[in-house]
Amino acid sequence: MATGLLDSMTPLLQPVFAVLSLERDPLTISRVLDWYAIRYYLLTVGSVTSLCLLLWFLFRGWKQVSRLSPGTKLAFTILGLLSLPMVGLDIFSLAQFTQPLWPNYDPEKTAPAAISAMMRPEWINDVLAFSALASILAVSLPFLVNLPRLSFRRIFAIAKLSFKEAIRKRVLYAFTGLLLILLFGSWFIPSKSSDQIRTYVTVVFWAMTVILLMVSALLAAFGIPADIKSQSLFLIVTKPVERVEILLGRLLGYMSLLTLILIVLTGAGLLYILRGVSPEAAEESLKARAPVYGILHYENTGSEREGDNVGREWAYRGYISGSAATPGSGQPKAIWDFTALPSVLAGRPTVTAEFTFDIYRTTKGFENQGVGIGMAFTTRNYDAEKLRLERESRDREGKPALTPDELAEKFGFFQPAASITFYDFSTGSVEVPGKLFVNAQTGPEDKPPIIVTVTCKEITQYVGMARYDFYFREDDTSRGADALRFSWNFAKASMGLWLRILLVTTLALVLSTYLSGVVSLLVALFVFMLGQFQEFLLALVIGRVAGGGPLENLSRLITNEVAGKQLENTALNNVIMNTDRVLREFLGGLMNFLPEVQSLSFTEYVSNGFNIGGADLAANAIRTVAYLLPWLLLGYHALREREVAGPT
Amino acid sequence: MAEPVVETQKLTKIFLDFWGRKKKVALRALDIKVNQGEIFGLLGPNGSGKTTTIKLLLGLLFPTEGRATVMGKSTTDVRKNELIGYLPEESYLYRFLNAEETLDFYGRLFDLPASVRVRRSQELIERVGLARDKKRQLREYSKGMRQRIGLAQALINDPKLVILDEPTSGLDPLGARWMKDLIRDLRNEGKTVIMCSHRLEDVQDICDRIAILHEGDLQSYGHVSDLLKDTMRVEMRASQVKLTPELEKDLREVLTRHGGTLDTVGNPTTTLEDYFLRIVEESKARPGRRFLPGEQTGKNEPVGKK
Repeated sequence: MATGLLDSMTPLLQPVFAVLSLERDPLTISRVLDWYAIRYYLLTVGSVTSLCLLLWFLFRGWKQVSRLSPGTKLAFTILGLLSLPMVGLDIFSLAQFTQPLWPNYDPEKTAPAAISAMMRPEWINDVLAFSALASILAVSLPFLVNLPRLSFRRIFAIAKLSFKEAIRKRVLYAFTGLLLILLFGSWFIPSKSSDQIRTYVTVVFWAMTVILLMVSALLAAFGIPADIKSQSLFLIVTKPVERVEILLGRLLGYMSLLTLILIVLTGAGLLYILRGVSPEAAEESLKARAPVYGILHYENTGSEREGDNVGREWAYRGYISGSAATPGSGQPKAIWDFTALPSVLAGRPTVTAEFTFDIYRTTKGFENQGVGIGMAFTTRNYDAEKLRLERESRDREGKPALTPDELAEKFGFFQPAASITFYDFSTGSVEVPGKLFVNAQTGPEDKPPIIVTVTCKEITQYVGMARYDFYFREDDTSRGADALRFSWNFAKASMGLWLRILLVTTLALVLSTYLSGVVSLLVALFVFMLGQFQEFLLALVIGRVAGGGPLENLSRLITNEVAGKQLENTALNNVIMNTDRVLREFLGGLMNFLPEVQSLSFTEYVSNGFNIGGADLAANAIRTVAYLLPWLLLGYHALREREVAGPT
Repeated sequence: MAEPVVETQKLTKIFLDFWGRKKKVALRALDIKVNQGEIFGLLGPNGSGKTTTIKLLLGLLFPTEGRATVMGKSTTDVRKNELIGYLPEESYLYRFLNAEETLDFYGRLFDLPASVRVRRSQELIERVGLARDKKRQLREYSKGMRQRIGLAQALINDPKLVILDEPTSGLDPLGARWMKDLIRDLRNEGKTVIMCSHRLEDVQDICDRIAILHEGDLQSYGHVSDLLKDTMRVEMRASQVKLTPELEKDLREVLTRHGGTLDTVGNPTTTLEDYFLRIVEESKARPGRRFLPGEQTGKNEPVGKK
């Protein structure tokens, strides 16, 4: 998030500093429910369920199966046989993970397991996904068989009990901590008037997140273990209660309480934020911009997918220079294709386009001066030759030049100015004629309705941009500050927090079906934190972390070697590096089982006044629930297979 | 013959340590049957396997070997629990609930409709004598009161089989007598009762049949009256006659004629429990009555004066 001061600006620029950096594409429902995503999910979950089936069969044997009813036995046998390809893949993957330890291993010639999985033919992956589904069904069979016996009355009874338990054990006292932060927070939060909402939103969400997640983890981690310790669970499991009902009841009870608290806190937080908002802050953040994003590609930068690399550590943006890379090649361009545009835009006199670019200077330039860029908006009907002829004809005939609206409507072209000056760390905006969107509504289907082309006008400077740095505003910008839309957006961010609470509560609850309360709490928070640091783990898996893997780093620590230096080619170092490769393979596999936590945080959207997409939220909800289902299955089996009583 | 309510076949439970090594054989090859409508007692010293047997029957533990059935169903089948009421040794109820909430909660676990839950709860609260305290949280209850509400929860589903683990443990003599009377009432209602206890007098009082366990092995099993019968001795009670030296001499002669000897002869004594209960009843009937040192107390005589 970059903010800064803009001393002077052209009429084209508005004094807005709200910037939203999206390092990942917002999730869409189609992406989550895409067959490839489902197949990947099945293969990931199936790899564990098939391994569990194998281990179960090895340790328990056929004797257990023979006790099942004839129908269940037949279903289990068929599903077990269909799971065999996945069992084979598990064994193959384990062998593949350990291949760096094999004799004659050559890292140059052997592809990592994840790469070779991607190289498998599609039909094999389809067959394996089917097998994975069979293994998931086989593991879920006891639950599925008992499904008709589940009673909502029992689940509700346990939920109500958990709710009352939490309240009567004075859990709500923890939330007085939030009250303190809200009451006295203002004393310690330095804030410019324009940053008021941004700062308050950040503080309120931070406080809510920390307190709610800690309380949910504590509640869920200690509920069942406390029942086992006090033996209260004896009186529940000796009633006709399915073990999964205990799990679902507890989850429902805790989530009801936490949801209620979240609603109250959201309301209180909103009141806190909205009391006495400064006009500057309202202009900045008291809104919910609804951006319409395009797809970014480049021309004349060497790669269509990437801009030039100026050596910035954060590789979020690609850069275009003001001059051609080589003599004869064209000027570098950043091009956004807008393939899906809401029809409402065509009905407006003007549509606001906003952009936030980064400047990389190779020469000092002038102090507090921006950089000039060229910007052109064209539709799929735009024909440069036709426009040139029209202009020449008008020049010849002495007719007045075409107005921007006429250009947009008749020729699908709009250029705000020959050069627009923009400043670092600021958001610029351009009012685009609505007629352009009218023109874009019809035309050749194979072309994107609107294309925006950006060039750098200064030959010694670079301009950096990412896909989400340029967008049209779908919301009505004429309304200015909009407390209602902001409030609804705030509520949507709370829904993101609700998903994180669900994640932590379920994890802690599932772990507590087998582990003690303290261990469950620590493991749940550890898994959650690992989910938070997925970027770093990915860097570790693909070997991008300076100093190599864990053993290599340890070796460097002992031998006092600097991280950048290549380790000497000795037998010991080879063993260290190959063992690290094995660890990385396992870590890569483990990463599939970590939750997506970062994408559930929408604080920056709200604090910067960007609308949280309903589809994004819904897709994240689907993904979170899908992630938690196998955990719940694990909890079901852990509670079902365990003896709740001990020797005494 | 009717199918037994509970049947175990070679039921064995071995507790293992973390590494899968044998830690303790809690129960070894237990074969017992409990029939409908009887009070069955499990007896034994601490660690003999009584509670383990009960936990195995309830599905709280899984057998290492052998099998057990409850009303024809495997002990791991939760459906069997629909017909079982269980009172553990300690009352492991949620102490933040009151009596009504407690019974409502366990009633819901039996999937009972609201009207049935309310009716049964009120009946049971009356039956266990907690009507005046039904709105108090259980944390404020005495041990005896918790045992009473524990028993009420065990009966909320009108069970066919009631399993009681040390039902009189921690109760005062009044409470113990109340509990024993209630267990007999349950039998009279046609329910089967399994109880385990190491209070032998309780078991002798109310159980029809017993199994005695020691270190996980079944040592003795059968009807209480049969097991306690000593066929080599004769006991006689007589009324309308005073014990005099002449009577004692005559009795000795008769017994000698039949080849036996007179071991003891005297007036019968009541049990301490009966004596205690009588005193308490009398005390209730005559408020302000107290024991005065030096006063003579004797059978059928008041122990104090007002």
